[in-house]
Amino acid sequence: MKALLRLLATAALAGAVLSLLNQVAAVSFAPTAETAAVPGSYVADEVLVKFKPVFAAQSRTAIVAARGHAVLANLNRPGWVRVRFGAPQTMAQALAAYWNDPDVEYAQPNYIYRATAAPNDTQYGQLWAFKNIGQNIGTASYIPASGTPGADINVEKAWDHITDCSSVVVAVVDTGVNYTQEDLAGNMWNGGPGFPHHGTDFVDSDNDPMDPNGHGTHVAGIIGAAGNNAKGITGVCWKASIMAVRVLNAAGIGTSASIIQGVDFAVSHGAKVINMSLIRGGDFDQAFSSAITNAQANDVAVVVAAGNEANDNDAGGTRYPCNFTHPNLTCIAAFDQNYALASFSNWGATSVDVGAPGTNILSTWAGTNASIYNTITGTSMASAEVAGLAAMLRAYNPQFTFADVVNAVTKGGRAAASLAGKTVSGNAIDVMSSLAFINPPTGLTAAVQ
Amino acid sequence: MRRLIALAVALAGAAAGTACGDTPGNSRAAASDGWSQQTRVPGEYLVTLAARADHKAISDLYGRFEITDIRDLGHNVFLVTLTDDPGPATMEKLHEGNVHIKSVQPNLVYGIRGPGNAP
Amino acid sequence: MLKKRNGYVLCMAMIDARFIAAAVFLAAGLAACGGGGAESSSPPVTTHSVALAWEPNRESGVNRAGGGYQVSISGQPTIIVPYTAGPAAPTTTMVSLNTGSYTVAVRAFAALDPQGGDTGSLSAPSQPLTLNVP
Repeated sequence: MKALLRLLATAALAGAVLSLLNQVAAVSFAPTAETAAVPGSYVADEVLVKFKPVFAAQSRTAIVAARGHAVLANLNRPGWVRVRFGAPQTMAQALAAYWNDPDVEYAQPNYIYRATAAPNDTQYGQLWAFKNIGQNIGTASYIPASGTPGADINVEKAWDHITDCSSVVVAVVDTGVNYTQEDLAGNMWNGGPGFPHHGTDFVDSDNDPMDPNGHGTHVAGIIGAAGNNAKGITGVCWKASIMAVRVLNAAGIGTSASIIQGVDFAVSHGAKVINMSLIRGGDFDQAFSSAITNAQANDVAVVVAAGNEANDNDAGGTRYPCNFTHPNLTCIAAFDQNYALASFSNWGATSVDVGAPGTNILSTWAGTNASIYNTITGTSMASAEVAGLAAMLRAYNPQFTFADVVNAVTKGGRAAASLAGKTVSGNAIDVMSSLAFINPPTGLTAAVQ
Repeated sequence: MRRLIALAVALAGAAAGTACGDTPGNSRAAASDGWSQQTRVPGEYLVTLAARADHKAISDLYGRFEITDIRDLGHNVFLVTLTDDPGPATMEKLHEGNVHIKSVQPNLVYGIRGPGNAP
Repeated sequence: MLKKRNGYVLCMAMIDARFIAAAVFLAAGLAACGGGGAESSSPPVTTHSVALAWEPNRESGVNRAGGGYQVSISGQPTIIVPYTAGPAAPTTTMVSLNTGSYTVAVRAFAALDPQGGDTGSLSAPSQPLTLNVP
């Protein structure tokens, strides 16, 4: 009798314990203030879920699928899966569903972690155009040599999202490029056996575009000097594919003939951005115009400098190629370190499109010393920054046309007081804003059934 | 190349000259040759042929000016070098009405500095 | 006789009232059918399905998680057409609209914002379209 009573008591106790456990399992969890994720810090439609050990991968997939969700990956930790829940569920709803699931031990958003934006290049602190903290440029030749914090192209935030533009070939049509420079050697275009020196030379009519001047090398470095390699500087793109097209001689002079051959070469060998930091005052150049038209037909974006004579390119005498009106051509004015229009910079309310930093710019240089750098000033430098941005946009958006690039560069910039009435957009380039810029949809139609 | 360097030196002088004052000879040249102040390579012209035209049309039209070189630059554009440069106005006038030649222009000078592009 | 006459009169009055009422109802019915006179009736309201379509945007952000399109139709709630899967966000949607004239426009959106976060960016609207539903 006593044994029976003892047995009954034990059974009752066991039952009570089991019941209690079930009740605990059935208690609803909901995101608390402490567990609520901050929008923007996680992937919008994903959660990480840890299932109880009893469930194998196949079972986990079935459980997720039963909710209308999808397993993206089984993580390298037992029980953990990455799940996409998709619209119209919100993050809070998805988390609550899994927390209330008795098969689940834990669920959380798939948080986003970002690398430190600033690269470790030794002279990065002198690149005020990329990060202006009011620093003094020790090698400055233009006054002011220091400026306004925040007056820069806002590229660091963009580097959280993309640093590798090497899928987009950028042609530097200039004095050549010092392709042995330590910060450029790894970022030059691979032209294959036919072009072992990463481009060609229409001055000496050979395939060696080595730069005897320095100007083209400086431009190339702004566009795509290797970033975060603990050396020298970085370009707008940390990784790039720079095509060296020499059309200007050691004195920095070239002709219509060499330039149109250079443009045609760049187009026919896959460049999708061409930078030309060169200028001429005078009448229309039909042959050059035709070369840019051919570039347009091949969806190539062309970026050019406005010139350095403090000239109104609209009213004070035309400057080419800046004054060409092709839709694939963008002409660039120069700012100083306070984002005032540089004293030497040309402008034009209908001919010059945007502005970018152009004074006291440190970049790679020509010479036998592989670690040579130099600081120079001009709209040439401003143009190079925009060419780097154009490459970044095309790398980030592989479907982009030249029109998309031009829109994102010009309309994605930010208003600059010193450019109001002096450029088409009145804007300074803003790399992060351009990366987030979205063109309005086109081609809307409606058909009543 | 040597021609270009010589031109650059000459332009340096010309730029200095124009900054200092007027030069009657240059004004007469400007009246008859609007390109002289716009920096071109003397004796060099870019001739664009009409579609399917033969480059022989260049010799036929401009041979009298002692052509020393005709170089195909692609896209029907040819760099023509003359010993006896008649000037852009004459070159332009001669091609008018010629069905084989679409356009002719001087080989213009560009650079990294500005309109004169003096070193 | 008067009584009879009065009863006849009452009977006749009752008959007259019923006749008059019937006439009134008949007239009302004819008016409702439009055959009664100069009054016009409202056209019937019908509902149609309308297929909206637009060209795909080329921004990568529009064509991945967090991206898509917003369709605005005058007097109607905004329609969200999100990216769900595959190479691109959908560029069509069907709506049911009553007879009337509407202004339609589309905007594209993506998760990336101009400050580098994921709070989103929205394009300017497309060229508006005037839609007449019969």
